[in-house]
Amino acid sequence: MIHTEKHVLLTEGGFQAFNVTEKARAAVKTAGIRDGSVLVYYTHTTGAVIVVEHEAGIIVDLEDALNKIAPPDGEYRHHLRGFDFNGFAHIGTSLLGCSVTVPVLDGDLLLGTYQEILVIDMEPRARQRTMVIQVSGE
Amino acid sequence: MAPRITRLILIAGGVVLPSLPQAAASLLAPGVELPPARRRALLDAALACAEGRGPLGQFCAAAVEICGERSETAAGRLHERLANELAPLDGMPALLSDLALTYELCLISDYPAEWLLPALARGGLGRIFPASEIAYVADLGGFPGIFDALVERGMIVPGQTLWVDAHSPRTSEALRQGIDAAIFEDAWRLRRDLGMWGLLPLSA
Repeated sequence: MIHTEKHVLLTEGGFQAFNVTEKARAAVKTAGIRDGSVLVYYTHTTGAVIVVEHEAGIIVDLEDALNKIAPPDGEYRHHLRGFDFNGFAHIGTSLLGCSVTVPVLDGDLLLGTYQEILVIDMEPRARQRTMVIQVSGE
Repeated sequence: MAPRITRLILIAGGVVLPSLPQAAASLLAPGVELPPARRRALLDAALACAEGRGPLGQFCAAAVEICGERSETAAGRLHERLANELAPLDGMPALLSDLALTYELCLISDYPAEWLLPALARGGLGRIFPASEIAYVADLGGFPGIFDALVERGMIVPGQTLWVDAHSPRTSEALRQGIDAAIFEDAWRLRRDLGMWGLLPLSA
């Protein structure tokens, strides 16, 4: 069976982490499957989904690491259109990826002790975002 | 060797108590997920309330309207219920009691005193957070300048104070300003995180 949920996240603009692990866990329970997988997918190009320990230092270190690769005040050809100026966030998303898949075993997420599913939004402007959780299995 | 961290400073909304938007929504529209635009409006109204921009009645009136009602009676009822029914988040009184045995605990409140103090008393936290250990966002000028204000008042001693907050942009800002920080998810996870900081037994 396949069960799909859409969730709206409200961002403030800037680098922001949302722990969505419990939402994914709840979707698995709602789907009622014992074995399968859950896909967490972010439907945007300036935000990502990752599995990591949700610890304050890691979040700011990740932001700093991405800023070194793609500085927010850097020059990007994406800006040539003059439409928006979020080239660094697109690069960050491309590097991190916009989805993760986590196995489901015995009705629960097969995550390690410190693993959490985080959405990382990097869009500089406050936005209304959509995250899709799709549970597949039986 | 004496522990480096001697003081924890916690944000009231989202760590000790539910956030004000969550609390208001759960009282006004229990079990209902508000549409995104209304959630945003409630967040904005709560921020204005936390920063002391307008009387409490203004927040209550805005909240009832956002949640689908329009009456002074409903706004008044919300005011009373926030004063009488707010309760600490699951597991936090026990965790705070354990921490209070060893560490200084301070509270930064994004709730006004009228709603915060009765909730702390109901949760048995009045003794842990006496008035001298509570500062209000409304008096401190909001974020991110609040960190400087707290350092100036001596409530934050960089290197010795751990900032505990459910909002990742604020924990990141704290770390950038040289203040240690932990993200709050729930009491169980915070206890585990504090174990990794060496502030509580790891097995707890």
